[in-house]
Amino acid sequence: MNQDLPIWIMEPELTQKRDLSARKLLEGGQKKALIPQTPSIDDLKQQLREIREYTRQNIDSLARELQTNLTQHYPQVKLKLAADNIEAVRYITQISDGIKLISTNNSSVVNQELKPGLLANGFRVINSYLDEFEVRKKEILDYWDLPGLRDKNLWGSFDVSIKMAGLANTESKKYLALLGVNAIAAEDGTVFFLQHFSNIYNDLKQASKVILVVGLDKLVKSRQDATFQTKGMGMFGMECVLLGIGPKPTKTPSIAKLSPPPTNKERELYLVLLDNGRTDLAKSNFSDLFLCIGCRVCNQRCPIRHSFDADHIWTPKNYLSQFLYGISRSIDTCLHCEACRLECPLDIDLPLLMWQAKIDHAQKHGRSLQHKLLGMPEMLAKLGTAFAFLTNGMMRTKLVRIPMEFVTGIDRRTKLPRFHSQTFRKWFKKNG
Amino acid sequence: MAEDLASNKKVVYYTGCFANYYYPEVGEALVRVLGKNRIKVIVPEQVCCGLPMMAKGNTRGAYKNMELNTRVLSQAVSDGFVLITTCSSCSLFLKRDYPLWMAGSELAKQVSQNTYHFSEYLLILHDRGWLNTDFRPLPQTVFYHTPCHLTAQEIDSPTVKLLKLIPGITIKHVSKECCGMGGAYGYEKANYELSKEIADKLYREIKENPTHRIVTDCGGCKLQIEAGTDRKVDHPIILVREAYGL
Repeated sequence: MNQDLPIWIMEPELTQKRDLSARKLLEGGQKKALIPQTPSIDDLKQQLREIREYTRQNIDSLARELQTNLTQHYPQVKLKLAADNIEAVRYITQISDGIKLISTNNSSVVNQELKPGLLANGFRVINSYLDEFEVRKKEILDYWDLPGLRDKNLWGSFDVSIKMAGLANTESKKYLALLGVNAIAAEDGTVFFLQHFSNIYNDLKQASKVILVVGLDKLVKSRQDATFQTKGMGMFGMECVLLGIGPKPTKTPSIAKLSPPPTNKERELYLVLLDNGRTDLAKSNFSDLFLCIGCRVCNQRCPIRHSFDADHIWTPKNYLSQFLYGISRSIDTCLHCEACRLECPLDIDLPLLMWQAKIDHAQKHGRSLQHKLLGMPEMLAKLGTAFAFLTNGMMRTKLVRIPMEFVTGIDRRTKLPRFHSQTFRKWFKKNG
Repeated sequence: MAEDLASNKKVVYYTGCFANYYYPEVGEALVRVLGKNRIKVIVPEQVCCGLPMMAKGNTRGAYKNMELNTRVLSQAVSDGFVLITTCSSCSLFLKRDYPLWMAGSELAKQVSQNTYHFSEYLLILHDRGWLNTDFRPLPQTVFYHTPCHLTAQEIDSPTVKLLKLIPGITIKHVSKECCGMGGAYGYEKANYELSKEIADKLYREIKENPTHRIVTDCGGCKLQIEAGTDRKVDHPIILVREAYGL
């Protein structure tokens, strides 16, 4: 009899923190040494970095190790290596057995890389997290939404709360669960999820077919590292898990009301190992993106996140990686405020990478006339200054602003600054 | 080392485009303020720092500018000058991006290590007891908007600390909301609506916190706030100059 694939779910467990506080009070004094110390945020960051650096440097061998382990120890798990999203979508379509309803978690791999293709293939895709969201509404008192939690270092409050071995032998419903995993240990295949509500567990319990999607970057060496990384994702990202999403506006099919499949077939577990540009990314100038643990804290202060009408959690990091994978066509909406860099626990320099990507793109595909003009701001300023007596007045007439908008892309409604015929440097030469 | 250079009381003012072409009062105020503190100031040949060029993919132009600035500014550093700016985007780019884009350049590193935002520099003088604090009271309330590129320097609000040295000034509100301007970003037709949408939060904050003055270090933020509130926005150096009665 084969073992079953370990699937572990991590949740924030505040009772643990409360118990710890109680123990501190009760057992203080000479027994104080028994109480585990919470690691400092800097130590956590350092350890996370080591885990991620290992993944970045060993992605090929980790992928091979995982495949060998899964094939040897868990042959009942149907493993598929997908080179890209097209291949993954084709595979899912092929194994779907005519089932057209897919439930997903908030995984960006699933929602950004696979969902569009699945919709195009006629699937109905619902996010079961949002389904629960509707039940609970968005409550401000949900502590995952409270500010300042990260600084409180809630490391000790996260732990594995559910340990499954394969799929539970429960009554199934006729739908597919497509779940992006948060981490997977190459050495023994243990799958990790971070869960806020109970949607992931429900899908694992109920779906007639469960498809685990593993982006190659989710691979880590050991179960211990996977635990650490998932904890880190929870701790650093918990303030951000609710950002950008709200109760869903329209009714979707309720999984609770679905009927079981007509024949009493055993539930099936699939695992799709998705490359989709990741191997190349790990070896490119953008390999720092591989350090990401998916905590989404880069979203925290991003001023443009509200502009993306996404039914998944949008992040600047995904914005860039989707552009690099060729899934989205532009990253021009980033206004380069650098807030994401300051937030990232792995110190990923997203603004710099964002620029590098823009530059590479411009070198390959050229730049628009508008960007060429705006890319010479000092020349424009010099021209405006030389003819300040004319330009200041002209810039306020529609006759100039409309054609100017057409040529330069500068919106006609903007209020432009006034030019000065005497620049500061001229003044300084005379008076300095 | 940068610390030692500050004691030379010699600065290069890197004006940036905004103070030079659009807001010369800022440069004039800085020269007066430095004069009041007996700091020697020079304004050598310089060009746009390169940030707005890089943002629009004009790498060739940006590198040309970075190289010219690095040559001139590093020479000044060798001559014992520190480099100061009144624009938080210029100071961020000189400090952070020059050594990144010109990896391996010792001169770029020198420029980076010796660049200060003007308020950061004046606070160093103050910490050493060299800042003239002979301010006359300015009994005014201030709404201070922190530019994102000043936050990105991680130097802990030097402008707020500087303004607090002026008797009478009450910093009623310090905002860290992005104004949505992002240099030329908010000017572009493609971004105009979003830029204003981002600014709305800041506009609301300003409305909810009425003050005598609105102050920010960044030219772009100034324009965005003025466009959305019909209020005049000042650079902080203007207030320092006023407090000196210059």
